[in-house]
Amino acid sequence: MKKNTLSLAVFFVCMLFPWAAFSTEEITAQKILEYADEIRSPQAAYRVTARVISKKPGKEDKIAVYEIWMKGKDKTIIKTLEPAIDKGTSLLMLRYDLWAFLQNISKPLRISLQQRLFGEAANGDIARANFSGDYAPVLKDTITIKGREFYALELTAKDERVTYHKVNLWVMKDTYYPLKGEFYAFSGKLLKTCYYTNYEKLLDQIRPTRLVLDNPLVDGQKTIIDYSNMTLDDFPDRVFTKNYLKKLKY
Amino acid sequence: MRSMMEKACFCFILFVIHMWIWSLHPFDALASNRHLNIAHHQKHQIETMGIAKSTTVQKDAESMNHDETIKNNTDTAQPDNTGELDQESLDALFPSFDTDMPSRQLPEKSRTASSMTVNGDLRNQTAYRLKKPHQFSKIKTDFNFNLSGRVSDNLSYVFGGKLSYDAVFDLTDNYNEGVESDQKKQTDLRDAYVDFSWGNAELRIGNQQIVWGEAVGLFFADIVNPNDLREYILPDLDQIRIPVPAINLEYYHSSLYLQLVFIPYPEFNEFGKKGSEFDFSEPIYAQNANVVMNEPEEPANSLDNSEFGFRVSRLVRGWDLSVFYLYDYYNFPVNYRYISVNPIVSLHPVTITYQPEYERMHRFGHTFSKEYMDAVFKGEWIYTHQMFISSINSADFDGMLKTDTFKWLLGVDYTFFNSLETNFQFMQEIIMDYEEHMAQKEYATAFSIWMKTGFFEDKIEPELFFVSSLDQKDGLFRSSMTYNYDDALKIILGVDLFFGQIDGNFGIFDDSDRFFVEIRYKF
Repeated sequence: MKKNTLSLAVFFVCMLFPWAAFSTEEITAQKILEYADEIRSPQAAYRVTARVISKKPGKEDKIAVYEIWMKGKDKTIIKTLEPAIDKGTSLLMLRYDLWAFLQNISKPLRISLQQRLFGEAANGDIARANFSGDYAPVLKDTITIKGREFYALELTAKDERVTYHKVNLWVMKDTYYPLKGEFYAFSGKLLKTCYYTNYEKLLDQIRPTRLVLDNPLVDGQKTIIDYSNMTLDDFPDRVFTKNYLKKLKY
Repeated sequence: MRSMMEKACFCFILFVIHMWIWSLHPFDALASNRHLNIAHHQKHQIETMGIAKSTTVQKDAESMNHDETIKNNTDTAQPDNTGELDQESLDALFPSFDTDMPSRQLPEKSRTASSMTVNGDLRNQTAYRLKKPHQFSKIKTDFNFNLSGRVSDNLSYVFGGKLSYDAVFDLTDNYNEGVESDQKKQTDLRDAYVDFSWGNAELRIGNQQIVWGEAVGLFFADIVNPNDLREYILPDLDQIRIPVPAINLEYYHSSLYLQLVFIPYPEFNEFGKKGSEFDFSEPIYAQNANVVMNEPEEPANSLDNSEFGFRVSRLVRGWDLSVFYLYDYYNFPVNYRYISVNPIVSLHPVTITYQPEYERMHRFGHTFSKEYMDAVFKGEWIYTHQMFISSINSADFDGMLKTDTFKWLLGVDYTFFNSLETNFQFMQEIIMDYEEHMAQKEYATAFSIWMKTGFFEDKIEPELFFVSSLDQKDGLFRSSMTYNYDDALKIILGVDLFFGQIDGNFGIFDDSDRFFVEIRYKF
């Protein structure tokens, strides 16, 4: 009786759990990148407040506050809430197409991709970087630092219109937390370094809530982006169109 | 033997359970794994979370040191070697948390916000004439305000107004009573509308600005709203445009956009009175004739005089394309001219009587923009059916000829040296059935240049705009320097210089060159 019971238990367990449970999912560079993307940014549509502090040595900090709306990987709206002088300015980013809406003109102005590298759009572009969609990753190395393992990925842009041609990204192995990213131009020049820090639980996931951006082109210049008030939102698609910019409320 | 078998089977079952847990999505695995291995993360106290949640300026010094630690330690981490991050910096990067820590997740946000927001600006602009008579032409204070809010997820509102007072009329005697009564004090309703949304449609009802076109600094395809031209095109565009009561229906479908506009009662341009700084009638009185200028009679506020238009636009592979049509009253009055001969003893040989009237016309056009190689190319054209052109033939009964016209504009935006923003535009108006008696040339060509840059972290921003007609050899040169005192206050110094013949679009105000100072506070 006991033997039969035991056999039945073993049989039951084996039927409940597929044999695939025995095999470990093979991790690829693409999968690492996708997991890291999910850590940085929810896949659902959401809004978040970003407080951006621009620091330069010997100069007063410049502080700006934005509300960022995101849907999917390609649609972003950045609303300027502070300073007062810029309040009401909105930026729409649709993959490779950008528009700015200025209150004193009352119509959207098309701006170039170049604006993604300089100006406020640059910060938004790094923050929303769609690694897994825009880049082809290669796992260069797995390194151990003080007992923690990190994946070192090299990302190459799939399209010439992607802002940064190459990105070096370090991702923690066991959690897929991105740690650091180096963003390069096509020429090979390092344009920005981004540190993903202050991990907190937001929307059921541990995510970085502070980005520290170093600008190697300007000595000592640093930008800190703090995220807060992240909430889901079911934005209709029409919100992410040029013609809707005039309807955004402040 | 049998007990050994039982133990082995039990271990096997545990093994299978453990494997099943790790086969889940890594995040689900983590959630489960936490219950098995809390030691994966260090435990920190609320102070750590306090640092992580820092959003105040006072904490910037701490975060600077914190960030320097990160930077200093990660500087040694090179891509192709195993440069190490020390434990302190790693801890700083990943502040530990308690597994019982409450999630910061907020409920799904309802976009129903009953709070009303108020914003606007207070500005004073003082202008001084550079040509005789040297005097103040303006000491004007404007208060713009805007109330906006959301009643529900589908209903929102905007209510805006403007209060103006020009002290030049109380402090000087530079202008006549007619100009003073027209420009000294003003209370205007600006944007005031409600927005409804349902499905893919949006409906805006009320006083509003409906802006079409891609041109910078000029009204080209921007034809729906009339303009306040009492300072010509010198104020900001949103101050020049006169909001009109309209029903504006928009429909969005993927990248396609459709807009229907219905304006029940037409509005028209405002012009400076005779003797004002920007008096359009001045060349008329310069003629060797006795001039009688009647006031234009605006069409009655009746649905018979309503206006209608539509616009369709679509984004296709980076090309932003639109077509539009408008059937409305032309915002400028048509100056019908009647000539009568005076008696020989009269001061002038003839009397010219002008009877301005507003006429309807059909207009349709197209706009586009495309970004390429870090430049934005844009263009627009407008075809007007039966535009009115003045005749210089005195035998012409009413001094007006009708013909179709075609206007086009091409422009490019580019930022040089990553800091100098520029815009170049080339434009032309073509009279389709040209006659030699027309006061306007068959091809009227013009160009414009705009530049802006910033110094000292954009604390100082010089700006320049130049527009010139190649045929009439007249133009406008505008130069300004903005000092951004702080996040709310800016001070602007500038000059506006007109040149050319009196019959040109800009030469008409050749005597109105001015220097100005503006202080603007935004809230």
